[in-house]
Amino acid sequence: MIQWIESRTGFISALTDFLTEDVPGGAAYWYVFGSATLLVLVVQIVTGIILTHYYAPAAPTAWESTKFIYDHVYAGPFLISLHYWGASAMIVLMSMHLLQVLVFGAYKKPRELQWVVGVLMFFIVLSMGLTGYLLPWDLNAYFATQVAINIAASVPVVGSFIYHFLSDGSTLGTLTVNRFYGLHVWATPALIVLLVAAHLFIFRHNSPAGPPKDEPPTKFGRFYPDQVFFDTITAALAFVIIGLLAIFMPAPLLAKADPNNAQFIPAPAWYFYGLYGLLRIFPQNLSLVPTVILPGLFTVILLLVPWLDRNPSRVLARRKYMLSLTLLSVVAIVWITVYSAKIIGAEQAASPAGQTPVRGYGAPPNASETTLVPVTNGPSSASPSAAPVSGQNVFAQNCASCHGASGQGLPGAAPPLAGNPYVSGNPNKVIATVLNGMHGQIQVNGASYNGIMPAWKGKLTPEEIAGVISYIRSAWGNKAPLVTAAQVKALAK
Amino acid sequence: MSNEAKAYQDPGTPEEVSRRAFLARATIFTGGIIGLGLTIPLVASLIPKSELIDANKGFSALDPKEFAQLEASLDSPVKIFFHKLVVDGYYTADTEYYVWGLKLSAADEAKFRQERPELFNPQTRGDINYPVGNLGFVMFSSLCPHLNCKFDWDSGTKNFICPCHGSEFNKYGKHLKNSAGRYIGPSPRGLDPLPFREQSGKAEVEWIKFAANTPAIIRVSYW
Repeated sequence: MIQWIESRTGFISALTDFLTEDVPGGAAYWYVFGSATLLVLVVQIVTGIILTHYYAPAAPTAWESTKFIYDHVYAGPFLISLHYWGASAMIVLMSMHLLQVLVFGAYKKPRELQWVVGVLMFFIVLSMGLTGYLLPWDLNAYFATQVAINIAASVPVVGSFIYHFLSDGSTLGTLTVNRFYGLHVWATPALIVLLVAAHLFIFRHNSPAGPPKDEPPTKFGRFYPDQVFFDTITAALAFVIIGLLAIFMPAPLLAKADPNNAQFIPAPAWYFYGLYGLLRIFPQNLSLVPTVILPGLFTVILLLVPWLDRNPSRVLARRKYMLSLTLLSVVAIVWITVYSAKIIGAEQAASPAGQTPVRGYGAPPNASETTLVPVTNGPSSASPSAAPVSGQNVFAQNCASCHGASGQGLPGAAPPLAGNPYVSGNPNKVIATVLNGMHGQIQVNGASYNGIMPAWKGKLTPEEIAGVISYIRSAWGNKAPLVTAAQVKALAK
Repeated sequence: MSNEAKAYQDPGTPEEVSRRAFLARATIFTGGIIGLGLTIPLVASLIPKSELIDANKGFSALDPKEFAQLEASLDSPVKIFFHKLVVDGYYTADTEYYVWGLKLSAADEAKFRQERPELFNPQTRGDINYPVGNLGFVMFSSLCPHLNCKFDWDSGTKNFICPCHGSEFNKYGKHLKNSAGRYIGPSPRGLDPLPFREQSGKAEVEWIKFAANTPAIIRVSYW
């Protein structure tokens, strides 16, 4: 059978040829990180492809379709979370691979171009993290990307072009998310696959570098099955970790992007915390330093390592200068990442508006199913759901991020609902507020608030509005009569 | 591997050699034509058209109730809301915006020119090529010139304060300095005033988004 396929295609001997390779100095766990990164890339591609079967990349549908995956796709949260945590795993494993190659001196002649291809991939994978971040179109996705492309716009000469190219126009809108989708799903992965192919081809051409010694290796291990076994164990471990994270800390989805939200504090993905920290350290008039000069220098230096490091030896003891520089860089990057995490944590704790997820880890507990609400704006047609609306669920998903999970409010911005005489008072006023929104300074129980409440007419059905108003009027010690959908419809005209 | 392809072993007659050289060049040339013919329009398609950038230009009417609030305001700026039907790519959205409106008495107008000379100097005013603060009102964009966060008016200190990185501006939109003479917050310039006019009894404001994070005043979009 195998002979039959082999004689007609040559696949079997090609596979055997691929697997039969010497590992100089013997197989070891040091060398697993490249393969582990590749295997996580495969996970990302597979989960990504499945996600594209459900995700719709336009401003009116991006967030809605993402929420749809959480609610109405079998193992939806698991699928999204695998992709979300897989992205972080990719960056971690890729960095470990880079560090291992750096420490082992495996970038030296004749492997310089292998190194260059690898570093290119490193930055391209980071750009995948950037483009993917916008796609859910929630508050964080929108504002963090706004900051990122504003920073890109500050690059001299080409900044304005980069800004217009990335945003596709002039402002973050539907064309931007469409463009980021095209980049994230097609252009960048195609580039990565080509570079991976080049990386593997060059790898085989030069054969693995092996242990950091200068004399040629005397003993050789077998790629298959020894090294492949180590690679598989590491990949399995990576998958177990990603899977556990996906199950117990599903990817959080915040409320839908709202450009009018003045209180939300966005944060970039953790692997960009280092850049964020740099931006905070330097004053405004030196802003080119942390945005262009330092990252640019870092990129160029990293790319040119095989030519900057002229030391022909790979032995660790003879490369103290290089190793100290590497250690110093790692410590600096880790330190500034932790520093940023602390700043962001403190700022978000001080201004938690919008930080409560509506889905995923940290979302208030709610029923697994939600009513299917029509996507179009404007007066809503009759809701097609047969299940009764849970006012508590509507509150948790739409109101809690500003008014608090227990109706405690947000000082200065959103008034409390618990013990609020307005909420327990005239039902028509409450209905009008929920339907039409509210802004301007108001006083509640002696404290003043000056936020913006969006209008929910057209975004929630009359049944949902009636449900949530009835909920807030009977929760947290409030004792006021319920309202009906008919009352809401009467005022919605 | 030493089994060279058989067709390549015999170099061939001079005619065959020159024929092959011609074919090779013709292939590259044709491939080049196909490549350029595809690449140039396709790459150009990724560059956004200027109509996208100029979309949504125009004045928006202020609700008389909102404007009445502005008229009634004493010394502090107020948030003035208005609606704009924004064309975003391929769909239209009815979007709510707000600007900070400040009523200016005659003395205020003089003070405004004093506090914000850069807005009246043709060399520094950038894209602000419209009259500012001369109708008794000035409307400031609600976006901080640093990174476009929405800032707030602090009635305690009587200043605008941006929550993102702490830039502070007085009621005329001037970027403030602390007692040591250093600017408070990283904003690169003062607040940007927007075009404002009264048209047949209606007050109108034009929403313009200016470039963030630069001292120059440059229009970026109208939505």
